[in-house]
Amino acid sequence: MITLDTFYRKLSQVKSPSAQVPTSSEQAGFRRAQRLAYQCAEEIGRELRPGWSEKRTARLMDEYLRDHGVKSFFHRSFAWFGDRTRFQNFKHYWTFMPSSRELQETDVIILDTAPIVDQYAGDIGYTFSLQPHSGLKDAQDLLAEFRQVLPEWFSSDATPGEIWKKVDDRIRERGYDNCHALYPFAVLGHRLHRIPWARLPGVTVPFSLHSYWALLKRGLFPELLSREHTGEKIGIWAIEPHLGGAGFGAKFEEILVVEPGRAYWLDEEVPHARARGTT
Amino acid sequence: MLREETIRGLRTTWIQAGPTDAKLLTERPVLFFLHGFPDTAETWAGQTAEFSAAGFPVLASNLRGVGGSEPSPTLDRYHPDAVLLDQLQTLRQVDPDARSRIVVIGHDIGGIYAWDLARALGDRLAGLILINAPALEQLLRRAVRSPTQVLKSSYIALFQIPGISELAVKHLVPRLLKRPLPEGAEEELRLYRGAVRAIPRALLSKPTRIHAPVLVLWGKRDPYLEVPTEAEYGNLADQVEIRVLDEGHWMHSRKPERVNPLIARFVERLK
Repeated sequence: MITLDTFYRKLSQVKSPSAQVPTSSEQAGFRRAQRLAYQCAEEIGRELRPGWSEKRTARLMDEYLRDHGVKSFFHRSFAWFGDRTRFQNFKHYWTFMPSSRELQETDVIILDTAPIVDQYAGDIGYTFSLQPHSGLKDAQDLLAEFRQVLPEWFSSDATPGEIWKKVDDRIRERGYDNCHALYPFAVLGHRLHRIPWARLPGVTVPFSLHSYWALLKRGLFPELLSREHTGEKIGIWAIEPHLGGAGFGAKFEEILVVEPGRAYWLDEEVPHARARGTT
Repeated sequence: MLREETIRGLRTTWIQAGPTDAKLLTERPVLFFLHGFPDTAETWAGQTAEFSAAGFPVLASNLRGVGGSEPSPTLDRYHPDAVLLDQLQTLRQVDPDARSRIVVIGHDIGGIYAWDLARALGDRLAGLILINAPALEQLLRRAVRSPTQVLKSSYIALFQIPGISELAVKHLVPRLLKRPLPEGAEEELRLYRGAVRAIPRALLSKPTRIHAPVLVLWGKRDPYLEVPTEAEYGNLADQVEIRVLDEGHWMHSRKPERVNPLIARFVERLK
């Protein structure tokens, strides 16, 4: 009997045009997009004060990116505060959208944005808090572990689905919940693309028409790093492990480049690596 | 002193006076002035001189397109969100560690930006002063309740029309105001076009309430704006003091000797 899982596994094996080693100029393009996205998250993050709403934060992030020449987005900016950082009680697609929830002094904050810069999509996730947060440091330690081991796992023979399971197992062993399992298709990550139509503004709710089209025309399932993925690993991925602790969540999201037998983060100049002095 | 920095790719200027030493920035609140139309930061000359001499750090922003602040080819940079980012990043230039507390002072359309900045500053806001400057929410409510205000504000509709409004600003407005306009005054029309784009959000969302003290100074001989009532601020701020003076729309620049003592008393009480 063919189950849905089996069906997804078969579909993930479809050869995707994304499954190729990016050239150095393509890597430079993706790096520029990622750096601008992180710059945005850091600069707007620096202005955050208690009382800011998720909506205002996301709006100002989008404004910042547009002021830096971004005309289109892979997805618009998200901001999540407090227990919304672990997607507490998120039942519908629209619940993920930035809300009127106001930032409290002790909240954990996640900023996530995905601008398209000169046709290259970046997609980042940045977690921090205004005040020291007792649980966040431990969660970030685990995320730092993932940042170290994920390139090793992607360099091995493990399938994407097996890597998904390894991440899931480690998250649960450490007493956290797997919050990226709550994303659409429960993805640990997804491919990123050059999006040639990016000069058009697109309709972005929150993912742009460009991004939906880019994913769909490549078969969708090879592009999404789900637990069922048994297809190719080669190419560019936005990897986003997301843990849930007591009343908060934490993630990072950045680009991993996978070549035959080798995988590496596209850029070491990312805030969570800089903060740990691992750049 | 006129300072200039590139902020999100555009040259942005502001007047800065008074102490700027990092330690001194925390001893007294920074007074942050936001001008209106058709003005520049120079409109606050009567305030910047006096309050900087009194030992306050003083900033007076030049809005996009005037006073040396580079105009933008896109209307996006005139949206209130972009103006807010300009002000936050200007503050960041002066106080990189965000240690200072701020008194925000706005006049005319500068009041819209002053409310936005006040809301964004959160607990850094020491106080808010509006001088003949309504909040956007206030204006929208008046558009429904006050036909007189609609008439007085009808120039805003004219300002939405490119070409005609620039001609009006160039040829008609100086005659009406009996003074020359600053260079780039036509650029300021785009602030009105940007502000109009913020109307749907202002209508649909609840404004963030200001908890810091608010002082409203109003020249009652203002031909463009009706004198406000306390009720208008009901959902905008916790504590509002309204002082009505027998002066005109530009009383801060024409009669600083009447306005400054009120500002000084308000700021003194903030301690």
